[in-house]
Amino acid sequence: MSNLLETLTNASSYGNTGIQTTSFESTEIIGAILVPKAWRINNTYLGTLGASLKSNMQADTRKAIGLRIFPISGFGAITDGSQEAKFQTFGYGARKFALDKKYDFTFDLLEGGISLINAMRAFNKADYDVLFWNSDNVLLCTKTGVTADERKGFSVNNIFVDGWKPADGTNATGHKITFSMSMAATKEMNENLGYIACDFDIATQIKGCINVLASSLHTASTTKMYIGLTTNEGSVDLVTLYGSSITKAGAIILKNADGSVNTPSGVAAGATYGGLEITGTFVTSTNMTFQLETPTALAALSPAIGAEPENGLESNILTVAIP
Amino acid sequence: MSFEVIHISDLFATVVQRMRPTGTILSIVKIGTTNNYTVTSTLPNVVKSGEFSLRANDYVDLLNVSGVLIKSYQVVLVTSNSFVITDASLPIGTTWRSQAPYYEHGHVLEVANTLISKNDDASLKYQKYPLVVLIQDMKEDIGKKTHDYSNPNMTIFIATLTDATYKAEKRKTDNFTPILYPLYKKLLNEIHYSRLFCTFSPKLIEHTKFDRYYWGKEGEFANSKNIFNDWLDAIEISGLILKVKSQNNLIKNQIH
Repeated sequence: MSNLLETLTNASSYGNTGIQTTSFESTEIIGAILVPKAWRINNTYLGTLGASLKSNMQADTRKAIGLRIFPISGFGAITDGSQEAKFQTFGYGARKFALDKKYDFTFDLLEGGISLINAMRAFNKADYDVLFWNSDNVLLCTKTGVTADERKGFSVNNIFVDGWKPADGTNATGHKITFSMSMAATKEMNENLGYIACDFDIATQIKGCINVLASSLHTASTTKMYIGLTTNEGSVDLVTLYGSSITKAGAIILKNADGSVNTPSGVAAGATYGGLEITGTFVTSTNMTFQLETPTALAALSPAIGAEPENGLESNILTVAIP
Repeated sequence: MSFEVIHISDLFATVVQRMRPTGTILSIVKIGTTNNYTVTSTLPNVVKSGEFSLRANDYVDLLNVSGVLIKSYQVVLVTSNSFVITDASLPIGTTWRSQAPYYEHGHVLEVANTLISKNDDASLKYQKYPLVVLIQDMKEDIGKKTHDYSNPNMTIFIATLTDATYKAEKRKTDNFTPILYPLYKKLLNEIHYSRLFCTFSPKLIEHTKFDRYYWGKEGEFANSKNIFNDWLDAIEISGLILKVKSQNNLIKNQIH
């Protein structure tokens, strides 16, 4: 038995139970943001009256890997597979608390299809924290305790994106993502729960980057290179979409075989093969690489490409053989 | 705890407000020696392909940095990223917002009377369409779930002016394709993204859609008698059962 006086005066052994007019209760979780373990949000990140919250989050979706955050929207249902708290029952019938609840959530994804599933299966091996947001656009996070205003993502043991389940005539094709939260997350999601009620729609304002497929449209030469740039499973041609905004040296990164940057003398819309027609001096019998500029650099172009609230764009690194 | 009262008509006023084309003003430049001014907008463009956009003769509001109305203008001309307005002195504003689509709610007869009263005003008579109408009264089941305020069953019309002599194909190309269908799509999007209702995707908002080519009182072989005393084409959305969420009054953009 604990000492009566110690219990009553211990600041951590009570909580005031009055019900206030405004209280926080979370509605359905409809999205998540995977954030690096070191990602933090605080009053500096929010800016005065939260003025920079949206722009900072949008910028974070385009940053280099390691700093980038990955929003996933369109959760249509939750299967709560959480393990309830465990109690040990003793021989005389008394019960004693043994193990705290452990959260485990599986969400059905409504949008993105198999393309998104395939991209996200890479997270099965990665180590990220997670923020959730609910249908009131409230971002759920946890207090770090380092400073009063510092928040981070919840700790996750496992992010698992299952393979897709075929449509069966009654159910549409199934896409699911599971977050098996860590033991630490139980405290993070309860005693240390933090939240930010956003004044913008997270799903439409904070979007993940989309893949751009860079491909060779025709055999290159020592002076010419022909590159196709498409998204949406090849249905959207970026050169047609962005025109002169993308037909410029500042929108691409061209490298020689030794990794040094090759600055082209001209970048134009391809008259014969479509896509980009890049003119420059390319060394014969070498393999050069082509890629679009980084999502951050593309969004900073004028006119911008893939700037908020649109998705950022990131291409593959294409090897171009110079005959 | 205070008892929560939510007016569905107010929620739809917010939804329709979000449907109105809007943009940030880049510059306002006088055209020669005329009283016309070109208002150039930053992206997204004034005219967006496949979406309901600002059109010539529409009314547009110029707003200050706080979103407060400075002055309204009738648009003379529209290009992809600018529009032209007329004023005796230099117009000012940081953002613009189209007045259309307009919004009314109530009994059909009451809405009709409101629209008729606008006809007496020289400018208001051009500030009626396209129109989103929320038909009242509606039943609301309350108290079924903690997070839900009610589950109203609603009927909404999206209507725009037409001509009695138009044939169906002309109505499709002039009204349904450029105006009514984009507004219908936008309405479903904003019902979802406003987060005022519990929905999971614009595509999964269950309702019955009814294209009304010349919307009037139904006769045996054709519609007759105008509903709002104007010739209208419309889309009727009925059986729209939405779960209205209880509203929180959490302080926005602040760390808790």
